[in-house]
Amino acid sequence: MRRTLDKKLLRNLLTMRAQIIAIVLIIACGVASLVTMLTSYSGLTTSRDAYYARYRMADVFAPVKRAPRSVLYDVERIPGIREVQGRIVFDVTIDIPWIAQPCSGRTSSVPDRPGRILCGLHMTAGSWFEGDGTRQVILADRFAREHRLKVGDDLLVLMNNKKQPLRIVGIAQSPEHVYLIRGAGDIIPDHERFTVMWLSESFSESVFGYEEAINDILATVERSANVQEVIASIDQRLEEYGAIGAYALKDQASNRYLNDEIEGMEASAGVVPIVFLGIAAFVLNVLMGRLVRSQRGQVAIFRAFGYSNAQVVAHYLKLALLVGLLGAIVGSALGLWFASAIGALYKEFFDLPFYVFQIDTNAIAGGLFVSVGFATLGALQAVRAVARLDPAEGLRPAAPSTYGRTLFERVRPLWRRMGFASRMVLRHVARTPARAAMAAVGIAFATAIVLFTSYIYDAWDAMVDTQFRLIERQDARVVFHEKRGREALYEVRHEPGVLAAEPELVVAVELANGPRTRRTGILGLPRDTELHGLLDRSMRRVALPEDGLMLSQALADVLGVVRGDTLEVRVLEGERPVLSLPVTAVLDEYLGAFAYADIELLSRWLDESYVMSSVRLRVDPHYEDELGTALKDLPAVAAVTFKDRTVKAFRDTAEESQQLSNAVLLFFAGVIAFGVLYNTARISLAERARELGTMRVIGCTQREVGLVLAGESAVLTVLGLIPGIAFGIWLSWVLSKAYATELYRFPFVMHPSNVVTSVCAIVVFAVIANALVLRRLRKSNVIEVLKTRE
Amino acid sequence: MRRWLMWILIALVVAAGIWWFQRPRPVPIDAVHVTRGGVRHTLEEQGKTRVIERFVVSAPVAGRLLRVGLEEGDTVTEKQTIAVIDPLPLESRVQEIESQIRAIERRIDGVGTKKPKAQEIERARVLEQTASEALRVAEGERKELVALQKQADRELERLIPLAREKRVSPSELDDARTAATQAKQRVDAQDNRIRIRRLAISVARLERAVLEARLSDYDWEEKVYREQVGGLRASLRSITADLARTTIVAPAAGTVLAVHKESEQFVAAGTPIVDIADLERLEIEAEYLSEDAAHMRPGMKVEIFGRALGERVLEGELLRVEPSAFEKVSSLGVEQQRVRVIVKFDAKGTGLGDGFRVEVRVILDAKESVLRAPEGALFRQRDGWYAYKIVDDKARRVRVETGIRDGRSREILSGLDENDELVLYPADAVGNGTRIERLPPAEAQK
Repeated sequence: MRRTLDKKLLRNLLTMRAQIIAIVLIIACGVASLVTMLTSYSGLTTSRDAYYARYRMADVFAPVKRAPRSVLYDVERIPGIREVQGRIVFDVTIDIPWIAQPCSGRTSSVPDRPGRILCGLHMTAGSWFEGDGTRQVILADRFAREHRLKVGDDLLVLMNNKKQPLRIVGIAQSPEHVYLIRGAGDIIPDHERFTVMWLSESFSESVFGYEEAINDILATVERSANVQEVIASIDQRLEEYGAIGAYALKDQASNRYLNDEIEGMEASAGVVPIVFLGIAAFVLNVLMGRLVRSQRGQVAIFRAFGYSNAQVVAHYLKLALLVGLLGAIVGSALGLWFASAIGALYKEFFDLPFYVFQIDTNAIAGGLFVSVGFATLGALQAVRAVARLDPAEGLRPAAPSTYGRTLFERVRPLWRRMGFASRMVLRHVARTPARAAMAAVGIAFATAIVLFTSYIYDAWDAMVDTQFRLIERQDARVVFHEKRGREALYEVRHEPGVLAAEPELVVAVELANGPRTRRTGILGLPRDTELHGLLDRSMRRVALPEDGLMLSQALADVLGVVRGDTLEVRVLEGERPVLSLPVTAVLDEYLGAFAYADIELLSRWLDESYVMSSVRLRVDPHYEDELGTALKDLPAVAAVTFKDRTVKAFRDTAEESQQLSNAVLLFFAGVIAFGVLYNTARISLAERARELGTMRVIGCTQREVGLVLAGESAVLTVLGLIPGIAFGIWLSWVLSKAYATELYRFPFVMHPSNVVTSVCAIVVFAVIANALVLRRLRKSNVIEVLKTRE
Repeated sequence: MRRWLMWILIALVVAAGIWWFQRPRPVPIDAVHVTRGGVRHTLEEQGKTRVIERFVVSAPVAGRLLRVGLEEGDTVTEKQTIAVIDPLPLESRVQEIESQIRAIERRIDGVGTKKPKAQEIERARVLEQTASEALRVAEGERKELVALQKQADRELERLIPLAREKRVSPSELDDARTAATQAKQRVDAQDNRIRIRRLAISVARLERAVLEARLSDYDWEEKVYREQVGGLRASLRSITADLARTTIVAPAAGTVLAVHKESEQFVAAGTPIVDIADLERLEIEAEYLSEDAAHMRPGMKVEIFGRALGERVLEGELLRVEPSAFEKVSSLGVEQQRVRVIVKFDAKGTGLGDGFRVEVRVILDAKESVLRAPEGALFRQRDGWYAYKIVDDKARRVRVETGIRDGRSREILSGLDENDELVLYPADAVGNGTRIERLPPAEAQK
């Protein structure tokens, strides 16, 4: 008895294979996205935790200007501190002969002899220092690979006013620099121009004149300790040494980017798969309902033969389960494949020595559960209706639908102008509103996904364009090691190719609005700045106030202030004055959380007449290389960044990170649109075989019959497109709000062309789906249907 | 047929719609205008003021400087007493020297009384002359006596043979003999007399020498005393002069820049006490790169600005470019050759003092009323400079020839006209033919 039903199950599957494949694909997409995201999430999290634990990542970082090494004993005594380590960190420039500009480097000191240190090094080549490490360097792996530098090569480094070659003795990676950026202002790493490197303690001490002194402290804290309290104690202890404030691991730049990525993935892992699986459930519901209803007679016969109600229901549920299972298996396989590809990308993107790729059984189980659950849910409804029927009732054909006036027919003038094909289409759609709605929802989702994908491109583009064309108008920026007077500006103006130069000054401050505080840097600019566009919400240029601050939107949000409020400014440098200043404008900026003020005002806070920490330049491109070469020899220069490169890095990173996900998203959208439309058309074709056969008999051409079917698809597509566009816009808007971290925000931009593009894409999917159905129609002999007696 | 037409129409409308929405979006830009105005080629550098003439008033004499009553910033008039060095020690010195002089003068008088008189020397001389005369007489007498002796000897010799022949008497011979002996004795006696005379001369000579020596001894002693008096007189004169200078007066009207020695104390001569200068007569020195200085000529206009002057910009004139450069490690850490450039300006009422930090801007070239475009609107492409001119809301690439520039705007020699609208900071978002959209104008400066 059982075998009979199973054989029937197999036959059902085979006859409906195309439709089943479509549904399986939709489910697979959902499961794949779920598995990909969860696996990548746990992979990245595990990799991070393992890396941090194995190489003893510090919990607290405390930079100071200069402190005696003995201060470490004091810090060690602070309650909650477990281990403390001091080091000497300096910015240097590196002269790579085949690069026309100086590369920037940051040297950290490590003990002369290898041992257990905080923020340990993962040596990928070479060894630790020989002797006291004089003129030896351990270079970051990424930079070494970028420039094909090997152990034994020399690196020309300008340190403390002296250019000298350092012998590369080792190549290493560090958990502290999984995302290699120079500082808070940078977003995208430039592996060709910036690197970290490690010098021996003895060599650092002698070359920087820091005998028995340090300028950076690393610490780990007890698990039970309150990190904020520990930081407060450290700050208090180190204030006399020019501390600008200790910060926790969660605020460490490199870690922050890694965590942002992990959090973002966690967030989307909760949304995207549900969308796909939801659609799959919709489609499955419709399909199963159609299947069960078409087999109404068979169900009745089974019942008459004595199969129990439960057995019949179980039979149909098995079909659903099988579809769900198939989807889950395909999806999991696809998901794991994606996840391993993403893992490889992550290993490269975040400079990880290893990537722990684990087959996340939870994710697969979750995928299985969700897909089977949704499939069952879809089938259950239809089966229950059939199973409730009396066998005798079931054997009779279903009562014809009541063909009353539909909504469309009430609009008389319109209706009268329509041909019969159009009328058929509209009537059919109007009579199966639930199915139409479901198809429309599917299309709407697909539209929204495409629109959303194009939005991400646009948003990124708009962000880069606004930030680097309208806001940052310089061609290059030259950062100094220490603050310089106005004469530095005059001097830079003399460098080759410099058309204009403007100073910048960054002063470390703590901004406070009542209990809300934020440590940040205030960027000082000349009041008549031409190389920085300060734009408010309406993209209007605003002038810097003589005595006040401007905040970027992100910072204003963090501090909870609006234009006109007053902020307390606690300067963390010099005499550490505390001031109260009004916020004169909130700027619409997408990158970073900055505050701006008049450079002369900032200089006064530091008790200086006019100082700058960097200079922005307009450069004649003709002399760019010459300028870069000249800057290589200036001991005061810590870094040179050319905007072109930054923009290119932004675009490249965007392409790199988005191409894959966008391709996947587009593929998913295609699968949904195609799956939904194909299934609907196939169901229509099956259900209306008699009508279509009749049309052929009364003399309609094959084309006209096809038109009726395609028309239905078209109507459903249009019905789905309209809410889909709205949904896509809404989704984009939500993302622009939800993704606003302090590091960057996405502007909300929606161009009509994107809408057109998404509509076109969906139309293409619909056309493909219909073409397949029409081919089927041509192949099958519709008239045959009429011969059967129901 | 009509259906076909309708479909074609619909397709066209759709295609048009797609084209309309898909065409490139206008790029938001800041628009600026080509204006007519001044463009200047300038070179800015840090400078510091210095007084043109600084008077360092120092102690003219060593002594106890009495407390200086002036403070930095006080104004002084010419000849105003600035400081006083206690004159008392000098005054007593004067008296002391005067009494010394008097004492020596007495001593000179004393020397005059002890000197040999002229008559004594004359007498000694006459005595010597007399002795010489006597000698001469004695020698004359001796000649006579010798002649007599010879005559007597000859008589005797003539008589001796005669006596043997007994032609003369022995008495006659004896007489002759006696006569010869007497003649000889007389000569000898005369010789003795001559010897005595000679001794007398020596004695007279010695006597005179002694007198003369004594005279010169006294002369020398007197001369020594006179010299001493001369020396004392000289120091008296200098001390008197010093005494006159113990009151130190201002060499010129001006402002006290520095008081080096304020409290009462002993100072060596030459110790600076106060600096005085006329603060209304300032100049500025700025250290320019030698490459820049080479383009500078005296008489060029200079603008002076900086925090010390607030919003004011002073006019000045390049006075001098020093001929010799010196090496200096620049702010950014490289060795450079710098040249000191001196700028003349009117410091009246500026509030500037000596050694104040100011910024100077030497105007190498200035053109009034030329076409100019903001630096940010111009960009280089391989062979030259271009701008994007906005024509019908589209960016049109225009080649421009540029002249001098001042870091903000640049002179336009050709390619653009006044009031042409340009794209500011086009970057690569704007290309030839790109549609543009103007951002709202900048907020009005408060």
